[in-house]
Amino acid sequence: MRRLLLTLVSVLALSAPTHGQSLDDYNMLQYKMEVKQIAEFMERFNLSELPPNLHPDDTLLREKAYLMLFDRELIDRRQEEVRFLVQRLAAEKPRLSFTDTAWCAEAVCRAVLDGKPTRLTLVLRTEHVAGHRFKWVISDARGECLALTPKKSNPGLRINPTDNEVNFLSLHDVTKNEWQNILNYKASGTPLDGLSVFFALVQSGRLKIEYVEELAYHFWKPSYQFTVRDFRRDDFNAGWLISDFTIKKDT
Amino acid sequence: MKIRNIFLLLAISSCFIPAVAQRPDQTHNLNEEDLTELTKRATEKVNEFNRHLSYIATPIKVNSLEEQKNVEATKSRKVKQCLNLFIGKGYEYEDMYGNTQAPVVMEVSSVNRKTKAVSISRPQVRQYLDRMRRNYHRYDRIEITSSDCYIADNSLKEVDDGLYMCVLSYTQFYRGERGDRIAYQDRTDKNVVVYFERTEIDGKVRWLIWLGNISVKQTE
Repeated sequence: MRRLLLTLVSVLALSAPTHGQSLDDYNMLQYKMEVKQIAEFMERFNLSELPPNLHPDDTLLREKAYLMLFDRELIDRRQEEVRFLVQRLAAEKPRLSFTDTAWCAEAVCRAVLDGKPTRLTLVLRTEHVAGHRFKWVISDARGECLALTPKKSNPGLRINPTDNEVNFLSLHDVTKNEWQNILNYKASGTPLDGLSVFFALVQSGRLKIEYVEELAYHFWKPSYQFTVRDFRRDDFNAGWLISDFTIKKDT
Repeated sequence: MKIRNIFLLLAISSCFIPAVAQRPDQTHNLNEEDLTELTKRATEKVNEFNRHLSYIATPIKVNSLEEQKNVEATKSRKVKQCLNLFIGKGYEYEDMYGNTQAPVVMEVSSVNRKTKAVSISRPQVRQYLDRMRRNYHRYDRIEITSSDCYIADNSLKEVDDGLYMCVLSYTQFYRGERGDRIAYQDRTDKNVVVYFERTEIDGKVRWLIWLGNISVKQTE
């Protein structure tokens, strides 16, 4: 336990910046330490690839490898919990794979809706296609621009109880003249999901994504889950690192 | 501070430790021999691109119109060679299903020397190379160098029959000089998509390799 704590302190100590600005003086060790891709994060999590400061014969290899995948500020803030999770990981030896179903990407996007800039969040997950093939698919969409709200609401905006007897003639008027208030005509208890709104806006040419502003990955296992983000800093503790986690209480 | 020094020492003394575990859950059906070959060739492509880029961007002093023409001709040839490295040669292209795919995009970042704010633009690779050739910033000398490429063992993905993709990471150093002083310099971490297409010619397997979109990960 003391050795693990010492390792933890060591990881925290790796915070001094370096200031190389040419190929000659650039600290290549720092480049090797940085978790440059989420694929590399998985390799290091699975211990298929070791950071340059770890030796395969190290008796605390797993603990150190996991610790180095945490953001040092997170370790600083939640030392005890980090230690608990690291010990659990070392005992369970879980693996991460691109082919897993228990992970997803969360992309905060800059977009343009009807010519105006906006922001929305897309959740993407991997989906098996065939054989060894996978692809990313959009599984959820969130954002204020996807939360449709009627321009006005009042009891008069309704389809009258007699309309069925006249072939619902008012539907024409509702969709032609009251299109901005269409949500008044929706059955209560049937919420609109952001994903459907997103696809409808894109397909109608009203919404276009400009670029992804922030990216995070969420991984979940039966007894814990964690989030991985890209820490861009001139530091050994940089790249794709665990930025947050939760441990299920009943475990 | 002492702990950090010990850690540094450990780090330096144990560089290049080989991997210790095998990976299951493959996302492709290629063997180790293919993988090694493709990784090597992908790295060569990226290095070739960076070499061309350095030449294209570097201003060359000329003494006559004739020399100017020769330099322009050489640079145009280099730009063409550069574009040949990219899928669709930098233009939109049709995939095997008849869909039109967008031209390759090159994310470009720069750091404001005063505010340290990083701005990012996303020109198509053709526009990017043109900008580099024209020495947009009017530097007297430009130096572009790159680090070794990194590729994760699990990076390769099969996407279609005979078509594979992976991502390579590298760091690019850019320095622009005016007179004797450094007018601008930055270090940018980049990720580049690489396409591999398997073809058979006269019964022999050949791999066609192209570069795809390039993203900026970090600029300092």
